[in-house]
Amino acid sequence: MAETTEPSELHRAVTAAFEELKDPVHRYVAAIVTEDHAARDLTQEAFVRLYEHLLKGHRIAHVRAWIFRVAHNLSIDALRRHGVIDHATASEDSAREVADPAPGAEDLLLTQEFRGRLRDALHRLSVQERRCLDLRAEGLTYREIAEVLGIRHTTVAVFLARGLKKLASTLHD
Amino acid sequence: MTRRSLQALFFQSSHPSDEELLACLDGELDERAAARVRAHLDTCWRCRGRRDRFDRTIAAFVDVRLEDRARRTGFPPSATLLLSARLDAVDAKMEKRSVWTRLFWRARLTARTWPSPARLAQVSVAVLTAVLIVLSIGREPAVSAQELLARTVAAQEARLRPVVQPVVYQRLQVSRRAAGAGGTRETHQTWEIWSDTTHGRYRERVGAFAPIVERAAPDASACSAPAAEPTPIRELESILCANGLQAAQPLSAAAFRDWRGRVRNASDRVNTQPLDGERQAMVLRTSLGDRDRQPNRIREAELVVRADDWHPLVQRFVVQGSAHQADSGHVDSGQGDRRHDGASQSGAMQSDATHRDTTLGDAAQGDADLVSYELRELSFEVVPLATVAPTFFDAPRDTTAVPAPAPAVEAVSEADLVSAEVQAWEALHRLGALLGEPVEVARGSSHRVEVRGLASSEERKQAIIEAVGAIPLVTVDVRTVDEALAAKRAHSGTASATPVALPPGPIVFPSASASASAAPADGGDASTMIQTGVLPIQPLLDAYLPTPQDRTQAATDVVTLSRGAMSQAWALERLARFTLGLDAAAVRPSTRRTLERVALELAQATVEKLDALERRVTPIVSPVLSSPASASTSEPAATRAAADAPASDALEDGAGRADAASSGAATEWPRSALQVFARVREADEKTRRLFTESDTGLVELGSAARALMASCEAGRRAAVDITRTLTPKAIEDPAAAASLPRPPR
Repeated sequence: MAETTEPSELHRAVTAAFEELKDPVHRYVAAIVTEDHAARDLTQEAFVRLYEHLLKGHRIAHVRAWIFRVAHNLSIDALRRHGVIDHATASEDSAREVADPAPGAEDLLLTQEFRGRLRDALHRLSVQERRCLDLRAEGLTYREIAEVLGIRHTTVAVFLARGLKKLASTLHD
Repeated sequence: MTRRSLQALFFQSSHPSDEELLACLDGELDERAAARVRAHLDTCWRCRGRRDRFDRTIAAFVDVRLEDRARRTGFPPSATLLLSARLDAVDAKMEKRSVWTRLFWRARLTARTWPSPARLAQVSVAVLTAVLIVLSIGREPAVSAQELLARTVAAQEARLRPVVQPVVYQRLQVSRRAAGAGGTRETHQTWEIWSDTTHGRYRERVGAFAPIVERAAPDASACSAPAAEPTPIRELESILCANGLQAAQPLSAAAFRDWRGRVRNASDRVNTQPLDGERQAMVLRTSLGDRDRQPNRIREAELVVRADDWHPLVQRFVVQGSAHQADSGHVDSGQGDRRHDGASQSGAMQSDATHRDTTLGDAAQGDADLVSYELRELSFEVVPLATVAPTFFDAPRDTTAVPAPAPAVEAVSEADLVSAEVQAWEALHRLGALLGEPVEVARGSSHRVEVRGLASSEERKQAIIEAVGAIPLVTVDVRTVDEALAAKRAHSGTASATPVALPPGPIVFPSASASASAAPADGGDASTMIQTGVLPIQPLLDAYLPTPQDRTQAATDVVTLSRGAMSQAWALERLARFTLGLDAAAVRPSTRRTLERVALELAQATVEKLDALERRVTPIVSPVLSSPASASTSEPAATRAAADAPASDALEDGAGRADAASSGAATEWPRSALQVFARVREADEKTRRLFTESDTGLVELGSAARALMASCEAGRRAAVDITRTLTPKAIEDPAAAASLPRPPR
């Protein structure tokens, strides 16, 4: 994408990137700002920034990491604008309201209990651990995660392993 | 940081660390290290157990995320189209940048990297030289002659493209100016041309002051013999033929470009000149260096195009005349033949004559053997062949017969266009399509009004077409989202999506069952915006309502009402901005009444929504409205809340009321409408802050609630002012206006 120069080519490339990445970026942003419509706006804004950036002739080596990073920064800015302290966890109550698709009542209870415990554990993760897990779940490599969060490559591995261990200890105890 | 450093970190014991194990599972280790971990796992049950725990945890985490995903609303199908529209807006913004900025970015694009100091010095010298040259020759527009012609030709082609079998209609005024024995003579004639671009057929009507003559094809003899009746048009045809220009489309950038490509020793100059109001025209003047004295030879040509849309407006030629031509002005009838006399010119020609005196007129004045011709567009239209009578292009008519009715493409007045626009606004209002749907009324090219945008379904599209399609001078370009996406894919790179003004909130597509009489859709499904977690307003909701269901319902109601008020105010604001942009002289009384009727209904609906919002919110927030911090007076809550509004609001609102009370208030509603929108938007933001976001600690409930009520009240007051101003009864009877019922506080 960085090699294209004509606005119309860039236009096509950015809309194609949007088609491909909008859902993962939206999920990640929604995990930060919690509001769906705000997450959609921020996601779209990230792609507009991408377009402007490329139109000015800048190069982008890893578009996926770049777009996640811009979306991440926009989300944090949005939180700050609204005076909200950064919270990396989803709402427990709202998540619990969703009915589980498992058919049997007993299974349902067990699954709900299991997931409830996992959600409790997610609350106890640090912000960076949770973000690393979210980004990894969206398919980003360690290097891309490091670029998005502005941390070191090895630190990503540490956060991921630590986060998963915390979750595992909750689930398997 | 490389994989080697990861390995250096991880390989510190015989068992792989958690980080190493996970990196191996994630494919982040290089092949050698990964093979070592896998070999270890083959032999170590404990580490296989650790691996399985990671796998199970990852699976559980992914499940929970999938569950979260299921409850989120994804992007609507139109998301890509909307993004595309925003990218178009970025393009438009970039277009407006100065030429230097564009050159800079172009240089960046080419260089890709920052230049070396030596290169930088070279570039600096070149730029400095260029600046000096530019300063020395004055301000030049940022386009070359080639670019101007290319863009104008492309714009003309683009106008034909959407029409099936296009027929181009041009109504031109042809002026001829020559220095004769008795001074400079100027003659005028109108020329109407229909050109069937698919089949190469042509028809013209020559009128104004000469006897009406109709022909079904260009006169082939014009090229070989002097016109029997040397009117300006016939002379011009001979000249066009002699210089290889098309007589069938005399005002054509493509023909101009072809001619420019053939002539030698020509020099071009592009200037800008003001057109009307803030608009600019680009003027390309091509002068031939050689002094070829052959009669009918074009010595200088000029093409004036509108800078907005590259539409050619005027074409002028200075032609090597002959004695016959120089004297021929007198053969025209007195209706068009007159001496050059500024006082006798029409307004349009006056301004133009002034310009011509300083350009081509100089040539004609300075050389008695030169004749100047001007083609000025009075009307331009592209219509489908199907709308023209089948026999229209057939045989030539009897030249003495009264001409058959032409296609309905007569020039229209500004008042007609404004009337059509207002009728379209009203039709969309009746359909409930102004409340957040991406549909807009815009002034199209060549004297048409366009209703364009996106419809949620085929039924909705048909409803819009049915509502506005019958209005004269209105064309409809409303597509379903699927159609727009398909068209975008088909034309990506060549045509951009029509930018549509988007509402400040979420785009709303009303349900297909919504009829014209039904209450219009308000603001989308507010339940999707409500987070069921802890809302800032939660303590007050808990105190006021007993059950969680009631609280959720109350929050949903409040947000829905707020969005409803926002939709109405947004429609009102759009109408106000449209009204403020109108030339008062072009608004007929009936048009004004229609506008005011729509504005009144929108203002009334806004007041109703705001009243309902206040009624719903007041009992919830009443504990903090009457808290000790703000209960020092005994004023009612709403009054106190209004007092909390910024001083500027109070001033503006006061001014609005004073205006409303004056006799000329009927013209002031658009400014009040802008106030309404500003206040309602504030109220909506404050509502969403209190009722949709989940953080309790950082919102001071008392001040937030008072600010919300103040914005509601200010918006409501401005909207009531509009209803008082525009209610016919109130205008006739101020006493009745004073007694207009105010909903309970």
